[in-house]
Amino acid sequence: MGKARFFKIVWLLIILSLVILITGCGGGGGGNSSVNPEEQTTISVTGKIVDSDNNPIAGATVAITSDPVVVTTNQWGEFSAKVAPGEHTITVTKGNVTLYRSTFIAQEGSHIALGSIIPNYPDGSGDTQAPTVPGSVTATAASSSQINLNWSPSTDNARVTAYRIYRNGTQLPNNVTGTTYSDTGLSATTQYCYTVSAGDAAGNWSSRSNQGTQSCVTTQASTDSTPLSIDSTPPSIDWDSISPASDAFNVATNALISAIFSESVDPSTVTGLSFAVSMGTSGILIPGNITSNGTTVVFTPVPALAYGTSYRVTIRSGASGIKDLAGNALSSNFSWSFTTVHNQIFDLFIQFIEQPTDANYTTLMSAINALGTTQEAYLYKALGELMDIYRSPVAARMMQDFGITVGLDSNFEQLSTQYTPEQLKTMVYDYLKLKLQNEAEHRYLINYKNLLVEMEQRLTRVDNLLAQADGINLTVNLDQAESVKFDSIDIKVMRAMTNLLKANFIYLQSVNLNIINYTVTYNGSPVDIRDLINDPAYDDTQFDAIVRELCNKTENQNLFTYSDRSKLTAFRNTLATAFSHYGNAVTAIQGLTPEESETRFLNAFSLDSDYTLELAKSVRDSMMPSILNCIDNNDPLIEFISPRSEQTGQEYVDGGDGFYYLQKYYDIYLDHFCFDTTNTLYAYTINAYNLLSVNGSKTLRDMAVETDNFVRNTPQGTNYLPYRLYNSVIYLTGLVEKLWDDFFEMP
Amino acid sequence: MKKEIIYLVTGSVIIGAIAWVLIVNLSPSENRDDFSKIPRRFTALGPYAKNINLTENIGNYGLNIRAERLYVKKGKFLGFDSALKRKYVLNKYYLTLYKQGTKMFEVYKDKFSINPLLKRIEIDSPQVIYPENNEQPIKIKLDKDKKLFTIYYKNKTDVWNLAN
Repeated sequence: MGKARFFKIVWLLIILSLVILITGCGGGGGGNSSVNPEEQTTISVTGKIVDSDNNPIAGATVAITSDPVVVTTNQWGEFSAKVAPGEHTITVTKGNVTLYRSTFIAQEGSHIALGSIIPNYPDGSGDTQAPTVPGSVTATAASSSQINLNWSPSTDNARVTAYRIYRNGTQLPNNVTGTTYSDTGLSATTQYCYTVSAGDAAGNWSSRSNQGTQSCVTTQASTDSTPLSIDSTPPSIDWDSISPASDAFNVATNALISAIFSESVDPSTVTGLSFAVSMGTSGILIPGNITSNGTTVVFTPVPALAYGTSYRVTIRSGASGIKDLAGNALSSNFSWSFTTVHNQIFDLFIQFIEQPTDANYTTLMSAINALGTTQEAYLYKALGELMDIYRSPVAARMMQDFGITVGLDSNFEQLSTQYTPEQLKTMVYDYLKLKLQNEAEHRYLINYKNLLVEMEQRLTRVDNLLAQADGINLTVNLDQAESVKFDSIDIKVMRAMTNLLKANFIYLQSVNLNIINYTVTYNGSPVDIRDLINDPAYDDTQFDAIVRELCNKTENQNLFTYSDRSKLTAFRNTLATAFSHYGNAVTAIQGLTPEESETRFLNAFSLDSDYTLELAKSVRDSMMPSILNCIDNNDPLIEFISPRSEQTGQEYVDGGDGFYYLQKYYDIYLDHFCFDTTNTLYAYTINAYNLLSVNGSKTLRDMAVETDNFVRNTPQGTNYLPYRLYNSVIYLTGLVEKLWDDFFEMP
Repeated sequence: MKKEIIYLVTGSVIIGAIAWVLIVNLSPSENRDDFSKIPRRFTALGPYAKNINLTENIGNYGLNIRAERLYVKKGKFLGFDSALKRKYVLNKYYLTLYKQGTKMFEVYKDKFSINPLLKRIEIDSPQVIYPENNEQPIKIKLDKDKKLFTIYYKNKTDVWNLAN
């Protein structure tokens, strides 16, 4: 092998020398580019063909082109020939086997000694002679997992190109070119036996070497050679191993916050202070649960992150920081920030509020439905459906008249009615006007029964959605400027509101709202009231008299009387449900610590002062039970209680922070009512309380009748008995209401 | 009595009364350093601003609004203070209508609240500053969408079509 490489190098050097000579000659003899063949000189070429062991190959044919020249090697494998200057190819063959092929350049005036030429079998075939069998392998155990091998080299007619190694009869995947090998990854105290075979370039492989005793060896016994070391390397965190990524935007609000350390960390050092998550630049830590598992620490915010908010995560170093199992702390604090996604749902809410069209409602609800079945989604669905209910004319009208005002911006008011509140003094008037003026546009009133049933069903659905959202703890951050929080208390208040509204829709289902005879007298002539109201010249001041006439017509005598008393029980129970939710909300707020109460400032619903809390408690404890008591007990002496507050004073108070706060003081009274059998009947609005006072009995009869301020003959009679105040008692005094938002700066 | 009852159970769920729509339109003239001195409790619900001065075109008229101070106040629902229902409170408020640079009408109100969306502005019993000696109205109403400015007097109502 060594010789073969040597000769190859020599040959290359020769070729290189020829190239240099030709280049130099060409440069100096540019004018002799055309050579006369007659004048050509010949150049002597000599060489010797030998095998890889330098044994001469006699009788080989040496052909040199492009002269051409063909010569045969002598017994010493030598040949000689004369060629013209230029590039030539030399091919050595013996029999049918091509032993060698190469090129050289003959320079005029030179002698080319090709030296010993070793066959290279350029055609890749023809060599069928395998190398000799290698000598036995000598194996030496270097360690418990490594054995070193060496063996005697093989020879070949051409040359040996590789050795195969067999361990316990199985060939190892990699061949080697030398005669040594280190076998690693072995098992301790295990015997291994080795053999090798040699191969040449033509793919001829020798038989395997003998497996002598020296070819087998047992690896050394395993010893714990790992030196005892002290871990003094601090843990570290890679920027690619944190989540959310640094400076990430549009991070989901339910995202977990995590970091993977370079080594396992001590779980006892993982705390809300060592792995701190704060909101914005405030430094105020947000609550959450922290877990660690090996190298990973995960912070789960509870409640979920707020929308459109930046957060900063700080993993602390030092004594109070996170440490590895050896007690090494981070070399320095590791901090990064990210920002949560903007709440696009509320953008759609705004769009729907500004333009309360069916299309915008569909868009809003589609986006909400895409949120799946999270508590957040349930809340949004409930809010969306409530808003859609509110935009119906009759719902808006009812909610105002029943004290459940729909305040979805003035656009909803425009949708709800074409009349000013001053014109629509009563629910009766509202109903009549809306119905009579343009029935085609007010399908709700034409098919009021269906509407009322539909509204009841929708509000039942809303209540169910709110029930599923109960327990939510959600902060909706609005454009970084303000936020609204929703929690279980807010859900209770919303369920109270929903059930109050639902109760009123149920109640109206029990009342006959059908007009049969539309003819009334106007300026002494009979006229259809629908035409009259649509007449631009119509004098609205006569409306009361016209409505009286309409209601007193025989055909309309059942107008505003009960047509389905079965709904009254459902009304009562729904009212009780509403009261229950209200009471539970007040109780929950009552149970808050001062700090917890303070944090509710931004909640959807809160009782921000002693005054409002006590007032709400009096409603829960006095008014609501008295309403149910009146409904449930047909007793003329039973009383209805209503809280009433009187402001006793106000002042600006130095808040000590550069601002004065307006502070008001109140006394709360409990007004007790019973039925008055002497006063002139008068009532001008329908609400849930009027229905308690009919004909001297506190039942759910004839609510609509009593709402009218005139007497007419009905199956229920003509007696209308309004309730009267008979006692008023002080409930609480000196209650303080701090109007934090009504302030001015200190002079 | 009824009004007291209604007060206790009256409320609005105003999801829409969210103030950020206006935030981008209001440009407090004071600097942010002053703003940062305001306790968070005052500003958490929405913008707080001093020396408001806004001008916009409505139809062929120019509307100028000035106020010494603006802040956000929570509404009430079922007796609860509701962060869902917010109102802007404006102090020392001037509303002026111009046409082709000429002052046509100006009213003053010491304090009143308004829906944050500001699509409609209704002011009860405003004090007319201009024209001088003008009859004092019961109410004025500005509907930006309809481009109508309505002045309610005791015995009449004037409607200005701002589009004309």
